[in-house]
Amino acid sequence: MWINKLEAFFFLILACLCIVGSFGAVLLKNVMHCALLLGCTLFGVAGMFLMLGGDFLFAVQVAVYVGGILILMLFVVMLTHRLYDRTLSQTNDRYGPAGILAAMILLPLCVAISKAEFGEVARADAQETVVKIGKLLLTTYVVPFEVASLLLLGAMVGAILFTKRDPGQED
Amino acid sequence: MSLSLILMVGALMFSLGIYGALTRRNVLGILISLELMFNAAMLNFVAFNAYELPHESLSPLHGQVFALFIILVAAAEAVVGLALVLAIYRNLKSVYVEKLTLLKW
Repeated sequence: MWINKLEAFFFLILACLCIVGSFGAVLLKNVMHCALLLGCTLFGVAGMFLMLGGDFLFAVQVAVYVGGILILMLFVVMLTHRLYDRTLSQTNDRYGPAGILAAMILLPLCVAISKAEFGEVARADAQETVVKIGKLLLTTYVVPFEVASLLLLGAMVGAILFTKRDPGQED
Repeated sequence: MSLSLILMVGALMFSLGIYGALTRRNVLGILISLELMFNAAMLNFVAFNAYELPHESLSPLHGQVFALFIILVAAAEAVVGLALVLAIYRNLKSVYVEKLTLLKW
């Protein structure tokens, strides 16, 4: 059926976006390029959310992650980057243990995923997720919701405190 | 597009994030790897939500709410982390982790 083929085609594009972006964000030398490729991965994940029926989550991912966190990261990269950083190695020399640890996590996961038998569940049509998420947030998850507001307030105060200059400090 | 393929993508992103967090010298590179791991976890939550809790009129979107909370925690973490990076850079003129030895006695 053509709609399945179309879905597989888009999934392939999004998966390539995610994987290429992740490899680039981890392996590239210039931190600026790493941050931009992280944005590539974020867009790929956002597209997957859209394919999995999370339209509100897609909007939040693009607005908060790409529009907020990534832009903040790019600002900090530009503020802390010095010209001779390009000639320095950006990695330490522990490739071996880190690679072994990553493979030790990846390989059992892949084996487990390929052997697991997930039930064949047909996904239904698009639905209104905003109303349902809002109801869940204010009924079942109301305590985490309030704790989250405290966490955000603390993060905001902490960020202001850390980046504030002392009066009289010249820089 | 099946559930196992999405989970494979998530697993690959997560292990790449682990590798990056362990090998980077730059604090910003470590933060970028952390964001990769957060995204892999979110992808898994939403994928399980879509496949194992099939959308019916009564089935709630617990996985998507969890992904929302992950985005929230990631945003708070990134803000405080980047503020710390700026403060460290202002004091030590460096963003490389082996230079951050003020607490080492």
